[in-house]
Amino acid sequence: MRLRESYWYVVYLLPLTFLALFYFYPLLAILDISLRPDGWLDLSAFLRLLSTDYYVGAFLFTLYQAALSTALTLFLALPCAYVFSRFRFAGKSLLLSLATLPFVLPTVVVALAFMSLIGRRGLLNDLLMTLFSLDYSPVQLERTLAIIIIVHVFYNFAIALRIMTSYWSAQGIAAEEAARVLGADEWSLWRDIRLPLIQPALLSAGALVFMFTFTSFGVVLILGGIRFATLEVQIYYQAISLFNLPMAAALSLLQIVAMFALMTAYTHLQRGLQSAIGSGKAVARPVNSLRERSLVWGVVIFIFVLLFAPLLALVARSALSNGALDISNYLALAESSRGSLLFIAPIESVANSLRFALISTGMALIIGLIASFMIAGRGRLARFLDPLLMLPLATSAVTLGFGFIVALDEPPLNLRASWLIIPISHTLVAFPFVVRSVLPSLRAIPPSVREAAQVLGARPFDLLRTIDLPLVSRGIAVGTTFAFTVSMGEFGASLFVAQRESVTIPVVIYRLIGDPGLASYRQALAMSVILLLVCALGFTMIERLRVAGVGEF
Amino acid sequence: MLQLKDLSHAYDEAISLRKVNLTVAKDEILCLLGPSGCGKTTLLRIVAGLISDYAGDVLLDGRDLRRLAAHERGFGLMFQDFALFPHMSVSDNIAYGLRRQRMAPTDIGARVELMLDQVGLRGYGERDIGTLSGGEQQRVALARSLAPEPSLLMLDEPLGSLDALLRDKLALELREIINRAGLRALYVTHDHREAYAIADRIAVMDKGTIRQLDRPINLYRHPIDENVARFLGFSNIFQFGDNRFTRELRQKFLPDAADSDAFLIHPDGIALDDEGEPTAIARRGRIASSVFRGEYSEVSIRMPQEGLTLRCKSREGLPTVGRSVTVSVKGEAIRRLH
Repeated sequence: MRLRESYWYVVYLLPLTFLALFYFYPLLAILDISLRPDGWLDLSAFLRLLSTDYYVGAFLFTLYQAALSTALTLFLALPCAYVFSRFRFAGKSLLLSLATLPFVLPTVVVALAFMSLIGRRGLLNDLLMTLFSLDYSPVQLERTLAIIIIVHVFYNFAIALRIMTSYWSAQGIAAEEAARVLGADEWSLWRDIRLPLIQPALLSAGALVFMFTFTSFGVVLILGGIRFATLEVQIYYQAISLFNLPMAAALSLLQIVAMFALMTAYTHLQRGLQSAIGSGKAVARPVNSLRERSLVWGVVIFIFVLLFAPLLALVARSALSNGALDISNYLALAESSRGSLLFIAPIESVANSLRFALISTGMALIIGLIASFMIAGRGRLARFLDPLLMLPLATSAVTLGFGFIVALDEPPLNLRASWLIIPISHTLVAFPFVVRSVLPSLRAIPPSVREAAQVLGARPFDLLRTIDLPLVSRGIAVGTTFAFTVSMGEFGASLFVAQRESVTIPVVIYRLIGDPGLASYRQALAMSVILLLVCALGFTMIERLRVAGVGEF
Repeated sequence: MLQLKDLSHAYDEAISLRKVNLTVAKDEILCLLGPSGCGKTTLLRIVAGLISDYAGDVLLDGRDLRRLAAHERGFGLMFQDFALFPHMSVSDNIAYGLRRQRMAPTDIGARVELMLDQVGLRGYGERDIGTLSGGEQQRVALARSLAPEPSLLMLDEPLGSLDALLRDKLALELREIINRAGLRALYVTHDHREAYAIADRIAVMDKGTIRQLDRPINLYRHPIDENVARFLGFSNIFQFGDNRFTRELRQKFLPDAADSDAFLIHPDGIALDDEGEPTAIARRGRIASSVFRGEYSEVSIRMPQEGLTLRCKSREGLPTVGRSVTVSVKGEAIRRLH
């Protein structure tokens, strides 16, 4: 038995080797280049980082925009969560699940969608200009902090809504009813009961949203420009535009440290959340007054507008011209425009993206599945591995991409010129999603069920084939779809590692936006719609499977 | 013959089994009876091959099982939570062990039908596990562990999660089915009534050791020590030196016992309102409490002069609290405890 078990350890080495080569090695390379740019210890990049107002400003701005986005997200999600947890109404669960659509949408698509809605050439401006016969665009949000914050709310609203709704629902209304009987009015209920009780969920959701917005890259890069550069965007500029690798590395290091601190804080807060959830019975009741009805309608309309207005604007902008259907933007995708930074026709990137997504999904699935089995096991090893294997989730894609180009461009591992570097980077980003989707169902298998199979004569391989895999098949399907959509939409790392001929859809969209001229912009719109459809399809599959309650996301 | 020799085991620091020796004969149902944490489930899991870090030996017909993994032993194990495979039908659950033996599909089908018949679930084959009641699940679990004709059947509190009514009914059926299959069985339970009903022999366990091993009737008549007696539900446990009454009992029935010796007054040897045999010792007392249990009433009698309360059963309806009664204790009711 001992001997046969040792086979498994060989398999177990696969995720660890992958992580060592493509996560820790690039991270060490970043560390090396920031501390020893010329082969000896040289802290000048750090000193410059800490003493230059410009960089300190970038760091402070990163914190500032994240705090602002978090505050606004929580502020908007709180009343909606209240309505969701207290009232029963038609389409509630559908709406709650639709609201998570942004989670799988690539940043480039969302950035373009908001440009189509409230940008300089957006629908809203068109509408206002026609209505009031203006000859200028009244809404000037492009390249402002406001539009960045709005998009961040779009992305994170559902996360906050879900966390707070489930927490409030689980808590029940016993305390509230007790307070009411003791004479509390609506105002004191909020101040003394509801807000204090929701606080753990508020903190946990806040930490998560802060973490996501702290590492926001695509949105800020496209909508903000250099004026509103976060750390992520600075790393990109320093590395790609200025080729100041030591400074980019120093910024990456700062980013890594900040993220680990945030991740630790979040894990801590989340643990408190889990232990605090009581077993309250379902508290939702039908609406029974005009006031409640209008409250519910208000929330439903708000979520619909927030979710679908930008996406519909994107589709409309790409396929309508003067009110009529016009697919010329799509046809133009087959042409490689002259003077463009692109070396291929935009449509060719679809083939690239699909190919990379399939390969990454395969790799993420293998590594993620093995990792899940390792973590689900008992003992010290598993407890140590769980956070270790989740580290890539806490590292920004830009840092990973930057690490790749500084680490994997020379022997022993020279992948810089190989297209393989793209699926590898996507695997790194995607496999934690597989783990998080598979692990809950794997952990839910009672030990006695596996033991029963063993006693009935199941060898380790039979156990895997007849018990484990069938029981986690839904989780695997969810993880697969997640990995695929994540890979399709991955932007930050791809921007660093994608080469001329191997560019992916999001990179092409970004290049097209950067190109001068309306034609490129329209091509970008059409490409975005294609990507949107792929991701929406993935999302539908995930949600179908999740009806059975699989996964942690 | 299944033999356990000096079997010991510890979870980290906590010792769960201390040098247990036990033999299970062919065609015998042996119950491991004890409170939770006494080591009975650990013992079962060692025999099943699910725990391998034990000291001592597990021998089956003289063969050491240590190097044999759980799936190579060919034993049957029925779990307390049944551990049915939720993603398979009733038939597939029962066929699971047979498929692992690479039995031919037609033979598997026939065997599954036979097992369904035996446990009274004919026609349930295609049902989903989720649609079964607790009792039906229990039967499927039994059929699943019996189907591969194990050389040893182990049952871990198989009736534990069922309600009392179902438990009594299924305990009898279980014994019948196991006997019909001509199996050697190890049956773990914490319920002495269940053990009495099912076992050929009972091993009472406590703190990782076997305190007493005997046939149910002997166990009931002669519990060996205070712990075993209390675990089997006996009260009326005293020391001979406690008071005048206990000293008188000693004088008459066990003159060589010491003051500090504990003893049990077995309820079968106590009679109410009956002078009994001339050899019995009779006393006056008052009914202190009286609880109706159906076929009998549980009565406690306070004897103020002796400073002692006796518990016994009355089959004469429900005695009135406060009524004065005569209690007589027969000589064979006195059981010295070690």
